[in-house]
Amino acid sequence: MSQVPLGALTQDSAGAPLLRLEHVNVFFKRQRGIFRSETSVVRAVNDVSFDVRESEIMSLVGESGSGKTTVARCILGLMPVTSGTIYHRGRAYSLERTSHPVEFRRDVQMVFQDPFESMNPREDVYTTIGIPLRRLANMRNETEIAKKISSLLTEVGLEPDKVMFKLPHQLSGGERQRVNIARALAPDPKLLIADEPITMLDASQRLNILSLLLRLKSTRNLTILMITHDLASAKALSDRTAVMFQGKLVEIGPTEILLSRPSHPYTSSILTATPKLQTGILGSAEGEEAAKEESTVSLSGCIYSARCRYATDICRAKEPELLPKSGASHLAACHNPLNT
Amino acid sequence: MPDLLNISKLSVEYATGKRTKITAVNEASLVIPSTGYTLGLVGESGSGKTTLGTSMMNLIEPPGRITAGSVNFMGRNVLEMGNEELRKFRWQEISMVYQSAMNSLNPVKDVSWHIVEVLKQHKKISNAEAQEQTLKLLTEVGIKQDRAKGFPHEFSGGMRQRVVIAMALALSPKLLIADEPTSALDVVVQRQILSLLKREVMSRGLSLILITHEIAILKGLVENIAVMFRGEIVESGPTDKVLFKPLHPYTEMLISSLLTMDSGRAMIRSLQAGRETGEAPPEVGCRYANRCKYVFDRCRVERPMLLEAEPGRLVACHKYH
Amino acid sequence: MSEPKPPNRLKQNASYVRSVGSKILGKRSGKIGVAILVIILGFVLVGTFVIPYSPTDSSGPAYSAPSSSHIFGTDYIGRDVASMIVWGAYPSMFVSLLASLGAVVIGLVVGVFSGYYRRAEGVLTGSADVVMTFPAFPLMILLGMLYTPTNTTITLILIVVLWAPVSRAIRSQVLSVKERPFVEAAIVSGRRNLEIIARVIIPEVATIAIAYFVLMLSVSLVFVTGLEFLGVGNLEAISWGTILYWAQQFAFYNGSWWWILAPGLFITLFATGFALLGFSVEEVMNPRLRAGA
Repeated sequence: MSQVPLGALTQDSAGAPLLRLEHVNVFFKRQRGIFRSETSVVRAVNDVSFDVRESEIMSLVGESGSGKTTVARCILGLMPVTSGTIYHRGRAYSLERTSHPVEFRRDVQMVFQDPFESMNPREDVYTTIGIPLRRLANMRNETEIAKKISSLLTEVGLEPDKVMFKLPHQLSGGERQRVNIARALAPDPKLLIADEPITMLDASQRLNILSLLLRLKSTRNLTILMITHDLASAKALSDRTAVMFQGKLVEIGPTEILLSRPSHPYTSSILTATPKLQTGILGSAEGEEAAKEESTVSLSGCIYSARCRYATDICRAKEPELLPKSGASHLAACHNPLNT
Repeated sequence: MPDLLNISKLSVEYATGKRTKITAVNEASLVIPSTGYTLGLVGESGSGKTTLGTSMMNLIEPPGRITAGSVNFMGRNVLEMGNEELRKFRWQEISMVYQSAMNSLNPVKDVSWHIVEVLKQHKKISNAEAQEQTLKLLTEVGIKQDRAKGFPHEFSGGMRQRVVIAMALALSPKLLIADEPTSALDVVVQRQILSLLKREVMSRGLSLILITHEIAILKGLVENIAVMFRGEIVESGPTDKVLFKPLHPYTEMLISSLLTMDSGRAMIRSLQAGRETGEAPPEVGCRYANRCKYVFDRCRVERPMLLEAEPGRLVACHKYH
Repeated sequence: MSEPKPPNRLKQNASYVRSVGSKILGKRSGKIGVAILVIILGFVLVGTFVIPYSPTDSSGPAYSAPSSSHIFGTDYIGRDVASMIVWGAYPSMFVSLLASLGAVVIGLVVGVFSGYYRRAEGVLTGSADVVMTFPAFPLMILLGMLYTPTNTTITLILIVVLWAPVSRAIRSQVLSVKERPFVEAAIVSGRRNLEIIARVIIPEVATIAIAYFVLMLSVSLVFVTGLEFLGVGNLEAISWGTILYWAQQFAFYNGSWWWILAPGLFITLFATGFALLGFSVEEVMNPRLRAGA
């Protein structure tokens, strides 16, 4: 593995990285103006590097436009990367769309965000779960396939008899998501990427699905990378959390510490804004800031400087590096970090 | 003094096919006694909360149909108003902010135009006066004057929602209905917008009905909560009481399955949140019977009515009466 | 553990077809379209067996008006017009059917591949654009001049002109289907491109293809009869278009309106019938109608 000190790539040997992203960039060119005269570059993912270690649950947290979903899609090869490398089990792999080898697809699977849209409306549960078994696990015997599907369905908390031949529109939201998880588990992956797995579910179902993921992690020794915008689920589930803002990785570290004593002002602001039952969403009287235009883009220096209430001159001039702030494993990209 | 808003046994149906229909709202009753009364209407998908909100302004369109009940605003039944009366009633007495409103702004008109239109359509005022009032409103909702002539696509989601709120407040209505106003927005923006709403409601002495699926945001925002399940109001009462000492088993389940910053792994591992079924609710008896952990025989035959269990708290559950 | 039985897919498909069918017939355009077609095709079918005259030999006095023995009268040689309509229907409808089928199949293939594979896009959409810039009739006449017009060549000429709009519509549908998460999910599940095209994309666009097919039946019939009317075709053979060609040469001089009216009527009704049916099919199969969540 590379010895380059790359910010978030820590040197501790808590577990070999199952997945490693190194200086990954995803840029899009966008043409604006009536005659398409202005070309602007959208930096969806901007120099992002981090590891995902075996057997850990990691959350990638960010709001819309943060690039977190783009990162997930790049990892899965659904989107090409502009530059940078992604390593899987130490091997750098090609980032073109469908040329991913079967071994990769067997090992790295995804649970999609929209339980309804990620299932083919014309194929029933049996067919849907059967596909990875046939294509990735190379199963041929029908009886075995049927047995495996049954056991997968049971594993995710569904009754095989009841749902086996149902079509997506005949299932409820929670049931669909469970089927998606079963499908992802079919080829026996080591890494599960869950893209906002509970965002589109009813409140009453969210806990169940998270609990299921936790259970699966221990029974199968899974590694989970969860993409979410909700800090509460990140806190509840993950060992480590990484926070992204407009394409940049701004903070990464053990969840417990990161969410109780965040270093980066952005992490702190979403923490404050997350509703808590005791205090609601408005929380303690914390003088409401004048409506800062959310899409203000910082043209130079720190990407958060335009919105940051602690920004100083150096913030606007120089881009901060992702460096350890409080402890070797807790890194933040900030010139004026909090809580240190 | 008649109540500001009195919804009595309202039922709304949707025809989903040639012969099939579903009851979106089933004999729901709700009272907003006066101005300054804030209520959070909370429910999951399929609870009927949006349908109930829409029917308050008589905006239900086919295939939806109001089949029973009344919506009385200060004594007048909104459902029986003629078109002219409705036009005067909407925006001026009750107005609405809804989730997708920020995307329904006219893309070829600047943001002030939207508010000016609302003003001019309902009041006899000159263009100059309308522009002046518009600027004041925009400042009130946190949009700086130099952005008043900007176009919707130049604004972020949160800013556009502020424009929508300005439109809703332009004619100083007595009641504001906000249907999931922040669901499509990021958490930080959500906090700003809800904070704005609260400020406006308090300074103008309005009544507010906030419809949401996220019960956790209601604390500190509204004074009362009504919980809906499958078309019925199952519990209502003061916010703190409902949140911390829920009476109805469904409310109890909702609260206990909340993911907040205080929930930990242990809680997730131990808790078994609401049983899920894709089945339609039973025809007879309590609609929550199939999922209720306290269910007993009476629940399956008799539908519970929304009655007072403690002073100021209503519950539709046989455990209490 | 009891083995759950898979539901009878054949029965499910059959009932799906039946429900779609009744929806199509439920619409006014569908009802009228089908009614018209039943009448026209019924006439042709019945007439094949009932009409005693041959379409090629003279069976009565020339230019005789419709009468009880010749319901549509006779032409300039004394041939029974009704029998010419009945026997001429077959080649016309046959060409129309084959041309529509060919156009839709080619349009489907081109549309799917140009929509799914970005790299193929340029060539395929480009050629569709090129074809579509030529006005249809002049192009067909030109091709008809270059290649001796037989039924086969005319069918091919029609296909050349008709495939392009189909491919356009299918391509845009493919582009939108490709964005839907279940296509990505299929890739992650290990499906390869061809399988995704066959099992995921094509079922989604099949409904449009069917709607286009029905509409093409209408369009292609008008085109083929139009070509023959203008003289591009085997003028010795009997078909609706050739009847009109000869009628147009002679009928005006002695007012044998029946000779023109009969084929004209049938062509119009056939085209209208399929057009109406096609509109109804299109409405019903509109992919925006999806089973609700």
